[in-house]
Amino acid sequence: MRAEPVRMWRGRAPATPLPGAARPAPRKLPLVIGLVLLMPFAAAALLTGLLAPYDPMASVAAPFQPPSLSHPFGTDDLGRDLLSAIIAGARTSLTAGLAVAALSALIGTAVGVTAGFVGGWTDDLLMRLTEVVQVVPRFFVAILVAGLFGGSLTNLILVLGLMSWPGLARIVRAEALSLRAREFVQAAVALGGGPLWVIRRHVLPNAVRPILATLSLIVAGAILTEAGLSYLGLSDPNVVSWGRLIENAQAFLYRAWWLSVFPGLAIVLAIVAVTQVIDGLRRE
Amino acid sequence: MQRTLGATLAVAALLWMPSASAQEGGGTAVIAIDADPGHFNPGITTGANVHVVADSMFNGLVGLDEDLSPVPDLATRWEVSDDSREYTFHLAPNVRWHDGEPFTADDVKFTFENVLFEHHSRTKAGLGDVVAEIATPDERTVVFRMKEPYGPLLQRLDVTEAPILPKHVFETGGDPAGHPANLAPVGTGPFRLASYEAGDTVTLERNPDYFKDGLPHLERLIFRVIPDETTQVLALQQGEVDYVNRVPLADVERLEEADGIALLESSTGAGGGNCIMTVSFNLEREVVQPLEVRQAIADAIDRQRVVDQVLFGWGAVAEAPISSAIAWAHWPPSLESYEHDPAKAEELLDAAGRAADGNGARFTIDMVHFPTFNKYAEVMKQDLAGVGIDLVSRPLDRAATVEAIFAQRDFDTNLISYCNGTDPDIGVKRMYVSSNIGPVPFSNAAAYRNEKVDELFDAAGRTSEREARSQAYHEVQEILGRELPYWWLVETTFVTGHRDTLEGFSPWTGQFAERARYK
Amino acid sequence: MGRYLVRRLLQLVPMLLGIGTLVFFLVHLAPGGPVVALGGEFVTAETQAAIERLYGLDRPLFERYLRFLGLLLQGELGQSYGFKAPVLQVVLERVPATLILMVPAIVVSALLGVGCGALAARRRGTAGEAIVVTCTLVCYAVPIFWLGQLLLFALSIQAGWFPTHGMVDPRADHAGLAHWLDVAHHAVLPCLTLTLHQLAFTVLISRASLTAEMQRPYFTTALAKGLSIRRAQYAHALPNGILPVVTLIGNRVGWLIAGAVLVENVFAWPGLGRLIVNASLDRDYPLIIGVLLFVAAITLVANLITDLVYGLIDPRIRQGEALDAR
Repeated sequence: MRAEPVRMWRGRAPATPLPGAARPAPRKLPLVIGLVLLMPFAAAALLTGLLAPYDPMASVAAPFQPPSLSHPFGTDDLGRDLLSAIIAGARTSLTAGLAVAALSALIGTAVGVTAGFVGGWTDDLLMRLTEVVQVVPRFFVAILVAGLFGGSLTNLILVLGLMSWPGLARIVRAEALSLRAREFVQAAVALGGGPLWVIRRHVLPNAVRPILATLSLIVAGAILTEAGLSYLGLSDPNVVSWGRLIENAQAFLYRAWWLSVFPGLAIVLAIVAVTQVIDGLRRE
Repeated sequence: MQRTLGATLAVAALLWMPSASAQEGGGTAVIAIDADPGHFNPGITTGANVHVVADSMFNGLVGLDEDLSPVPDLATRWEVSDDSREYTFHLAPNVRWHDGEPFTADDVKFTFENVLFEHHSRTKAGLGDVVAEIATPDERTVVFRMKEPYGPLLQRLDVTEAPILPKHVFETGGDPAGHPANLAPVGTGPFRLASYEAGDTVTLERNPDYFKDGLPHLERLIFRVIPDETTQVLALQQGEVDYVNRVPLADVERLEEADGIALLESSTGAGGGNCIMTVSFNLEREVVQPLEVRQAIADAIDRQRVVDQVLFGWGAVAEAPISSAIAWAHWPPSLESYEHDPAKAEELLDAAGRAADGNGARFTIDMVHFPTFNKYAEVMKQDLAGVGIDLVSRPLDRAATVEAIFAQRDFDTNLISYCNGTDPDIGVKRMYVSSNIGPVPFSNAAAYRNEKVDELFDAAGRTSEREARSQAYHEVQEILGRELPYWWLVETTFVTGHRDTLEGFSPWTGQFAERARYK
Repeated sequence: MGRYLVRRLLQLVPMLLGIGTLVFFLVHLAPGGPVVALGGEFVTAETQAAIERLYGLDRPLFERYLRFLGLLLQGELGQSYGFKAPVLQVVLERVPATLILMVPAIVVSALLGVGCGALAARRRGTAGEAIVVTCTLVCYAVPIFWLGQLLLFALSIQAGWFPTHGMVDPRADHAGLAHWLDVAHHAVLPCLTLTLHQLAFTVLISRASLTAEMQRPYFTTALAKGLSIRRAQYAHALPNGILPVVTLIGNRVGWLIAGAVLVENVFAWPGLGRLIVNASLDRDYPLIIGVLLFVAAITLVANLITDLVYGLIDPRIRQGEALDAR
């Protein structure tokens, strides 16, 4: 192995317990909590049309109504129903989170596996690229792209998806590197196992825990970035999202507390839910 | 560890209880601004972030009072020839620059010819081609000779449009755009620069030799950069800031009830004045070419609701293409036939052959605008959805908006705040004359062409005869109301807030604090 | 050590060039241009052309890129259009303000975070862990600007303990110690906001890392030798488990600066964050590229420091470094 001890260390996956070491029984609690929390959001995202009592974009009542029975989360400055908007926003925010995670997982795995198995200058090149992407400040680029090309959800997903994969790539590469040298993999290859088979069978199962941990950060990062861009006025006004709801509430912080509180809670709970579910899966 | 942190916070709190009441004796006013000025030369830019700070350090030849009529500034009096071709200004005596040099007519001539006509885009575009000569018969007299009769000159000479700069500073040292004096300004104004922390604070101090006796009253003006407008208002409430140029309209009602805050309404200010939120129809796009479609859009939008819910009552439905603040030119009969009527809008659309499909949908159009106008777009989207038009809002930042509208011409409709300024020749003509179609920002966005309209604008600009001018502008508005190249939504005003321990601000001019003082 | 450092520093050059290239094309291919910000509303076609000529924007893209690259190789970032001053100078003027927020946030959150993380890992399954973890998760999930506004409302408006905005009291003419106390007073709220956010992150990862270490055989051995859990944790698990924490803190620097953008906006803090937003709105190309390169460089240096810290913590890496230097 060439002299890259430092990088090797950094890319190393958190240790899996060795056989014989004390290991607590798998704890299902986070998974359960997470799933319970996530359920209403998932339902909202999937069944927006059915669950939302009103059209989230239409004025349906007097403006600035505090929470009441007919409008449990109140109405906003144009008389739109906030509950409906939060339900509609779930789809946007969760789509952003999951799409970004999927895109980064795809790129990260591809880059990591290629770098790890092919090695040589390909590895060098890919790792330099990984490092470049890793240190470019993601949020700044998101600000730039939203400012320069428009703040559509697609742009956001592309920017974050195309820039969030380096961590994953490193993890996968480290796993691939360590496996490449192992006898059973060499044996598998010698026996005619294709690279994809090796990846599916050996690399991914070993890397799945650290990958999941990183993915939970990426999902949370995407949801929070959308909110941050909205706060700076750089998101898509044709789509209802939690970030936009909070941004809209900025002007009315002292007039209508509910406009800011409910979307904020939605973001917090959704991120906690996603984190817990992923954490729970990781422990299984 | 946590306990230590808590203790530290408590000690910090005790040490620095707010000192909001400390300013009464000092004569310092703290002004909130939303962006860093970057430099202090008001002659080379029209940027509001520069003018809001720098205008207090300079003067124009004439000032503007609250009705936007000219009042003496550097010129104490003036004469206009009968044919409006020659303007003679008599300058105030004993005016000195901040560095002690005397101010003379040469400074005026130099400023116009070497700085304003080169770098101040609004004055360059407006006056550069109509001024034939600037003569200085003696040190205290300046004569403007125009190529042809020109009416609105006096409205274009205030400190925002034409700040006078020192010749002795700018005649050496290279291009005014990159001149070192832009960061070390030398003006004649009531205040002079004391210190500048880029991105944070600009401090001005009283000019003790100011040529207007007894002015200014305040000892110091401190400009504070606060980008978040909610924070600006909180700081005003807490007494950390004394003056907020534009209070968010949603907060006005709350501030009216708050103790210690006075509010001023004004329709003009350092960024431009008498603005009308205007929808431009891209007449090169087929979708808005039928007059009925444009009329239907006009009838579908509930403009009163825009006033109520977007402006919180601060503003008015636009009754004519020219702002009601320019009363002599404003002509309400031109738009009388339009009223909010969705049913009529649907009829018009049917008549135009844009029938609704099974779901009530007719067609989709886009609208380009600044992100700050999102709220207007949301209301319009709702109203247009009601008659089957799907409005897609395309907020782009300032630079991209200008590019999309005026260079690429990539839009069906757009929403722009067109500021009429003090005279239709300055801020209205540019929207309608066919010579102004092209890649110039904030020009004729609709690409509207009408020879008669071109002629009328030219005629109105060539005379200073009020009656003849207002006749011409009325006729223009009749034609515009019939042909509807734009739809005029609402006239906007803005509300300035300040601590009520102060008085005498004039938010309608760039030199807003010349007469401000503590009660 | 010296040679290793030099080699690592040399590696920064091609990376910064790569990042510069990426950002250059992103910025120059975007619609819009600096004309509106510089020329104002009523700009004429002639002025527009003059501005484009002045900044060389009328040249072909490739030629502009080569010029940019040439300058960058000499360490030049060019002149900001808006500030009419060297980009590096404009950036450096803002850096101290941002550092005032970031350094305490990193240091406090690292110390406190590892402590809380260790506590949570030690008390697995207890109410203590549940509380720490819940608080942490919530702090982590709250949008940072929202947290800032909440603190602003509670501690400044309601309690009146802290000023609402800015870095110093503009009316007071403090000097020396009084000045710095004033700055500290203004910095409390934005710093607290940033710290809470970063703290949450540090607790989460140090807890995960320490938990994993505590399941390893050496830890069991340490316990078997009769060490208390706490002793064993600090003496054995921490030195091993802290490595990924240090890495992630290093990698987080970019994110922390991003958080600073939002926090600076809420508290009108005159730092780097506001500069990038305005620069992008005004299409101040050299400044945009300059700020991004600067932040990237800071992140790279932070990574480098992280690796050096590794060497101090973990003897195995010192060995690796010795091999490396041969």
